This record gives sequence, structure tokens and C-alpha cells, in this order.
Amino acid sequence: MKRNRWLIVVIPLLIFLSLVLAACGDNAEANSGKLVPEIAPRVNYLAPDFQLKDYQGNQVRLSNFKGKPVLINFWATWCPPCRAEMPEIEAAYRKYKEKYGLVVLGIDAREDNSSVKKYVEDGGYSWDMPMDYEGTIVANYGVAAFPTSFFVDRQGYIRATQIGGMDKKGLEDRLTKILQD
Amino acid sequence: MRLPPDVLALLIKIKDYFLVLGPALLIAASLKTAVLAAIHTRPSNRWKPLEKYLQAPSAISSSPFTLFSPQWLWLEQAISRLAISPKNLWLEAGALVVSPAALLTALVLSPLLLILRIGVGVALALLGQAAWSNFRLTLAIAKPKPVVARKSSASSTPTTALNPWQPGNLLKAWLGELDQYLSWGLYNFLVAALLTIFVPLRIIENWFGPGQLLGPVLIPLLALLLIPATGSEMALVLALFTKGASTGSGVAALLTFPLLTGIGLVEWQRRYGLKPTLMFALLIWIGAAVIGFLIDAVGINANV
Repeated sequence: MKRNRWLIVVIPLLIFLSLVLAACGDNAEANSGKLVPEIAPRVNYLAPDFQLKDYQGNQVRLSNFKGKPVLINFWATWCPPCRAEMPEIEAAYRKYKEKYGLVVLGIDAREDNSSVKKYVEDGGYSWDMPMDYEGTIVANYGVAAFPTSFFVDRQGYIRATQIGGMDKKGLEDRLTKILQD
Repeated sequence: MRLPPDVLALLIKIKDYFLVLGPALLIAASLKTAVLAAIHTRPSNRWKPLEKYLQAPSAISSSPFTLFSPQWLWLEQAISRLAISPKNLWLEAGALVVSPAALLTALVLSPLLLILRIGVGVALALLGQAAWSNFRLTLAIAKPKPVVARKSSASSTPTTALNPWQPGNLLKAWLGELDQYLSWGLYNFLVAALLTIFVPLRIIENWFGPGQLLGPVLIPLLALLLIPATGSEMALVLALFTKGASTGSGVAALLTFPLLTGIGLVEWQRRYGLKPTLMFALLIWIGAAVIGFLIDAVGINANV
């Protein structure tokens, strides 16, 4: 009976730990190293430019947002951690878009317009959703898992990245690196 | 077998709320266990108010599904000493609002919410002390009901005081305390996660967002969905803020969620009577709605 009781504790604990590890990612924080004026999808380097259409057919180009802090978020509708973090991203976007000019670009990977449109409308997400139908930008940015986020400052440098879902605190901590002038 | 993405997203969100609020609940459980154990070994009348203050959340939130029967002999004694009068309902409510778990979890969200909680808790306690002596409210005072002993392993044993400092007893008490916060708390985290994942932001904004005058009035109704597990109801408050609720609506939620849970009201009705409980619920609801409305009107932003 005692053994069963401890199993009842241990098994949920293991499930919980697996969720923690599954939703965590390699946190390549911006170190205090100097900025490198070369283009690469790495922290302290210039973010590779791209041009895509969103699911409504509008052109979206990263370089058009120079001078504004940009969160580039690679995601997909089938991705559970993406589903979990999007409400937090929406809250942060609404909080900071007027005051700091925050731009969020949610690049959808290899899906169709109708799936993304329904997903976005059901969730009430209000940021731009460029569509990477061929996966070219996903490859350029070296994205190996979803979600993956890149935090780009006003000068175009990547100041932080996150592989895996973010909770509120994690998102706010990374956003503070790009929101200041 | 693969879980559907939405179910997995739900589990991840529960995990997120657990990680945000869990440390505060852990600290609260540890603090309460340590202080109660210390009081228990040095009984004195001067510690009774502190004992009752710490006991208040346990009185309505003991889980029938606990894995660890807590050594709550001191809880049995505390309940038997409570006089059945509406005054104690208000005092208990005040203690709930400012219990260690409630304060620590409010602090996690925002210092402003912590200050508000302390203010309301003090107001409830003062109201409980003053109202029935100074104001002639025409409430039917509930006929004193015999105290129903809680089902626990402790109740079946002779009521000799346990030494909490004996090996194993303190650990059992601590695990029992943690179990009370978390076993029901997981349900509250689930409700918060369901709202976060499945309820579109526009719905929350349309009902409880900035500019919605009825937001602070209607949001307390959500408390009926919750289970009294002090501190974990903050997950739903956090979810509502994330989904666009105004500060005033969020504050009204913060003040009413620990007090107007369905199960909690039923328990209070059983102990204090229907009319005092209904009057209490109505006054709390109106008070929280007014405070929330004023906060929105003035334009205070908790910046959660």
C-alpha cells in the first residue's frame, strides 16, 4: 500500500518533469559580447532579411521594420507549445506595441492559408503571420524545432533566442533586451 | 498513443501556472507548518489569533482525496473553539484573503495587488469585529450547529496532542499542508489553462476588458467554478489578465475568487447558516465590483 502511494506521487512527478524538459529549449541568451555586423541567425549578429506574404496576401519584409523591436516567432498549428505560448505573446504584443512599437512576425511553417486563418481567428491573435510555404526562411534561420523565437533589436541585431515555448516571465525577460532604445 | 496538440498545450499551460505559483504555495505551506508546529508545542492564549488566522484556509479547503492524512489535531481543536456567529464568517473571510498563500501569490503578480489584498483583508476583519456590535443588521443568526469532525486518521485516535517534532510527524504535517494547497490547486490551474488555451481573447475583452463597465460586476461569477485552495485561484486571475481583462475586473476577481467559490459557500452555509452566508456573498460581490469599477474609472493599471 505504501509502495502504491509512492508510485502515485512519483509517476505524476515524472510526467511533470518531462513536460518541463519538453517545453524548455536551449536558451541562447545575449551575452555581453560585442555585436558582430554580419548576417547570421545567431545572437549578436544581424538577423537575415526575408520577404514573405501573410495569409491575407500582404507583403511582409523584415527590413521594413528597422528602427522597431521585432519578435520573429516560427510556429505551426500542430505544435502544442506554440499553442500554449501564443496567448502570452498576444498579451505582450498588446502591452508593448503602442508604447515601444513592438512588432511580432509569426512565421508559419509549411502550412496552408485556410488552416492558419482559422487558427488565428479562433485564437484572436492580432500580429502579422507571414507564410513560409516552402520552408526557405525556416531553413535560413536554422530552425530545427517549433516554436523558435528570435528577438531583434531596433538596429537589426538578434539579442536573444528561444527554442521551445516561453512562459510569461521568459517572454518578458527576453523582450526587455530589445524594447529599450 | 499521441496526445492531441490541444491537450498537450493544456498540460503545458498547467505546468506554467504551477511553476509561476508553485514556489509561493510551497513557501506558504512550509511557513504555516512551521509556525503551527511551534505554536502547538508552546500553547498559549496569546497565539490563538495567529493560530486561527493560519487555520482559516484549511477550514474550507481540506481535500477528501488527500494522500497524506495530516496530523491536524490542532485543527480539530481550532474548529471546536469557533463560535457559530456571522462575525466569525467575516473574520474567517478576512483571514483567507490575507493568508500567507494568498499574499505570496498576489505578490507574484503585482505589488499593487498585494497591497489591495492586505487592505481588503484588514477591512473584512474590522467589519467582522465591529459590524455586529455597532450595527443592527437584521440577520437571522444561525442556530449553533454541532461541529462536524473532519474525516481524518487523527479523528479516530484519542485526542492526545501529537508532538510535531517527533520524527515523521512534521514531514507528514507539511505534506498534508502541501496536499491541501496543491490537490485542489491543480483543478484551479486546469480551469485557468482551459481559459487561456480555448477562450478567444475577444470574448474576455468584450466582457471584462477596459471600458466594460459590467466587467467588475460579472467577473466574480467565475469564482463559482473554482475550488477553495487559497493561492491557486491566482492562476485564473493571471489568465484573465493575459486575455485582456482590465485592472478593475482583475482586482474584483482577485478579491472574490478566494471567497465566493461554490464549495466554499456551501461549507460556510453549513456552518453559519444560509442568510448570513448569502448576505456575506452579496456584500463581498458588491464591494469588489465597486472597488473594481473605481479602479477602472481612475485609470489605475496594475501592469500585470
